[in-house]
Amino acid sequence: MDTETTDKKRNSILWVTGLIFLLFFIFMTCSYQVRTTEIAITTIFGKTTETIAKPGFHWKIPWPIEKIYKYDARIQIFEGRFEETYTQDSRNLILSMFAGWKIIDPVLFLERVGSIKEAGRILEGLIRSAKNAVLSQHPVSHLISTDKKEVRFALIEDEIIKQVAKTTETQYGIAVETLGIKRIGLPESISGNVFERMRKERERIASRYRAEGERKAAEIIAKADKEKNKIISDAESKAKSIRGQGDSKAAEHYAIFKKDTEFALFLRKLEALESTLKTKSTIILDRDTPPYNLLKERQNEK
Amino acid sequence: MKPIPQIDSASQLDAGREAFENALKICFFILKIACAFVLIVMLVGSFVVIDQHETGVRLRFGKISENQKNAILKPGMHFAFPYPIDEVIKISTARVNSVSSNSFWYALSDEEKRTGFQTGPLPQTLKPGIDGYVLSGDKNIIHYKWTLRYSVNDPINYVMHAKDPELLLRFILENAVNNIVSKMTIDEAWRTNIETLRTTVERFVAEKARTMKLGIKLERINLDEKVPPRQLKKAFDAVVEEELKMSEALNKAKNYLSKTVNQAHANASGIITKAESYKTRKINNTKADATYFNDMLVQYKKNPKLLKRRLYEESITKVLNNAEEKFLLSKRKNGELRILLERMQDEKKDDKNDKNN
Repeated sequence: MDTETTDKKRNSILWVTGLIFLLFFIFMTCSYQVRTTEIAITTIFGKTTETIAKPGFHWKIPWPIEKIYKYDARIQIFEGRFEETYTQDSRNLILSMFAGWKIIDPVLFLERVGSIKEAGRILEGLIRSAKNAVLSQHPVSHLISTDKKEVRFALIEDEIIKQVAKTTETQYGIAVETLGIKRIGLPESISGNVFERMRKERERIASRYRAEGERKAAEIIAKADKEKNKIISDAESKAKSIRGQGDSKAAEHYAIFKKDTEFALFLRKLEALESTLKTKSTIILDRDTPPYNLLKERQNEK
Repeated sequence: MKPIPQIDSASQLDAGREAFENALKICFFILKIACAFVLIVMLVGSFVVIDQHETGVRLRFGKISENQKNAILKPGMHFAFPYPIDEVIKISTARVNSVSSNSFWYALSDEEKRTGFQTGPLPQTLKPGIDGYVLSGDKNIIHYKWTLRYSVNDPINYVMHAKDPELLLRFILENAVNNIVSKMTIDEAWRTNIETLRTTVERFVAEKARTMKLGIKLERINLDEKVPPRQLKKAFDAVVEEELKMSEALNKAKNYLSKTVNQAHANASGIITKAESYKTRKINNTKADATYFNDMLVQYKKNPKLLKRRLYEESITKVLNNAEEKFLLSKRKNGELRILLERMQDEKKDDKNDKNN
């Protein structure tokens, strides 16, 4: 192997490598990619040519002739500050809003806004004025109320979103995807009063429970006694009628006693005698009473 | 690159030229190594490993292939062209992520944070923006802690639609809580209707995530903590206590009611049974009497006086046998004759002597 062939080989490797690098360089400067999550526009000498580039691979004329501006096309989040807002009935609430927005018209966005950060500033102003305008049309009860028909929480948000979107879509190329009230607060000075009101309310509820408990319990007890009396008296009247039935059924059998009333009465008397003097009685008899009259007779005999 | 100079005339070259040549050689060597290194990196980088809990999304020239099969990479080893052709985004789809919201909680002092206990006097006001809370429909203040758990069920939408889905979810959750609690009373939102509140918030957030195509599946929203303002703890506890007492009193009364009614029913059936037995007894007795009478009547007809006397004496005997004390009185002379025939141990019965004529 001589040095000449080695040199030749070396040279060709160098050329190839150089070529590859060159091609790569041209490729890189003459092409661009748009990610799925992005939206892009191209300008030639500062003038917009193609408005929205689809995601994927694209050719271009190298810089500085053709320029590519790429923006995140996903939903960006705007978080508003706490701000005092007056309602229609001139109550002040402290609200904090949030919004999800995205770029829909990159040309407009490039011209009028330029950056995501700037968009945040613009949105802050727009949302603030829309919020103030909308809330000044609604009383507090449209935001907070126990009357479900009164509350128009979502409607208020909707009105704000519409007002904001009207401007952002036509002037800034921004679509507001969602917007909502993130937090509602009261001015610090009022919170002390709220505490006082809440405390009183609790006390009222506690005493109401106490009174209600006593009243309801008394009611139940009265009801129990009433029910008991009713059951017993019902049973007694039923018992009376049963006894009456017994008496009348028994009376049917009395007919036979008519055969000899006197004897029947005599038997009855005997029976009464036996049943009334059954046990533990003290009996005082005249001696003339049979069979003790026998004793008397015997004495007479003497 | 400059061509390497001829080495034939090496003898005439000075030391400087030789050094330059050596340097070039070294450069060339380093370049070769660098090329090899880049090649290796490119080759290794072409293989992407997707973990068991992950799903990969492949972007080719930044674009998600229309063919889902190409775009979605299941767990395992995959080939992907190196940058700038392919990009693989790995998303943990099997795992459940959680987002917690403490925005509605009161601010703790540094000492409270450190010790975990409430120390010092409580502030008498709540500073907006620092102390978080929700206003209920009856304009009361309530503190909450919420947790949202989600998993990614559509990795493409997840990648495509929101820059920070987690933050967005948290804001939607907070919006939902305000929206829903603003219609409830404090008692509902704090105690009595918690489950409704939770499920309503859950539905609200899930619906919003669906319409915004966030590509997530809401697993569950938890209401971790819920308290009325610390400053009013006593007052709130007192209400709960009174409520407890009330339900206790009511339970007691209800027990009394059921006991009384049951007893009344038992008594009533006793009364009725008694009446029934009176009825049967009465009928049977009368029947027996009638039969007895009928039988005796035959005898009676034969000799009324004798039968009467016999029956009477039988009765008297029976009565006297059963009696505890018997006295016989005689009208003879003016004195009273007392005969003690039999006496039980009961002394009390003596009182009854007075009943004589």
